[in-house]
Amino acid sequence: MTAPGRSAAIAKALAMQTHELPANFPAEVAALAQARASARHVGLNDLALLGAFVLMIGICIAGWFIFEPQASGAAEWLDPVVRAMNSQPWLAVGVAGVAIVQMLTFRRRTNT
Amino acid sequence: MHKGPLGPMNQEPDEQARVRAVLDRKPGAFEALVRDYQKLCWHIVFRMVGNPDDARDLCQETFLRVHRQLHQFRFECPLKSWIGRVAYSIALRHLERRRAARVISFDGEDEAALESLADESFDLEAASADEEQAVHLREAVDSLPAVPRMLVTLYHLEELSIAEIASITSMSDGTIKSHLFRARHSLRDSLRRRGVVEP
Repeated sequence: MTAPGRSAAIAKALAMQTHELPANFPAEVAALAQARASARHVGLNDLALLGAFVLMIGICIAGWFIFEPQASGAAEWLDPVVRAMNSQPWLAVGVAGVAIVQMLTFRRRTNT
Repeated sequence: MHKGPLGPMNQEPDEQARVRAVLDRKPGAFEALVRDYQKLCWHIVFRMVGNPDDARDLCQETFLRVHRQLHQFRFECPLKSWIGRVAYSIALRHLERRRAARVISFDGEDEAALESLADESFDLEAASADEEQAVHLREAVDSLPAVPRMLVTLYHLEELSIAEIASITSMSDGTIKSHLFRARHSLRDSLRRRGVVEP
């Protein structure tokens, strides 16, 4: 099948359209794309940081259980903290969460 | 994948460099890319959805997706076709959500019968010689269904080849030609109903 002939009349009629993209469209889209790319970039960094933080806490807890029986009275100063955590575990989780959020927020500010 | 006229040999020589510049986040590179292809995107999206506000949002979505997925572009087709394909798929999905579009395949249609629709005795150029007649023609084009309206725009206004349109829309060449013949036939009928041309 042969292709139909092009029509200058149809092209002229189509070119008469009144709607079009705003003049600042390229700049706005480029800025938005850049902002979203940066957000994605920071998101991955934050996840890596959170992972490292959790790993560090895990190592500390593991170390605590491994070496705590050998220590004699070295960790008595932690007793009030441990008692508080035992009596108010959700409060401890909340404080830890706030600390993590604050740290990530601070890091994001320093990155941008 | 369409080869030949859309193959890597026919790409603009600076296409790889400009894609690399965007991926390397060179200042102004993506903005320049948007500026160069915004008209194509607008013609595809606006002609399909018909609503200028929706079309602006969808064009923005198109270029945000282009920016996000440009690292996946493998230069197997021209960048223009790839961006057009993104715009087409976003507009089509938008219409499908609204159940407003059907992509009809005309594969295997009787070619002789189809070409008779073209009706070469009908002089479209003469029928839209003055401004008023051209307005009638534009209104007739606007009244076409979404997909043929977009195909007519790409073929007659953007002057893309059938192969390029096929690359963007994933339709067969025959289906595209069939849409174009039928659209021209429909325009002729529409102009006759309006009394612009003699019946």
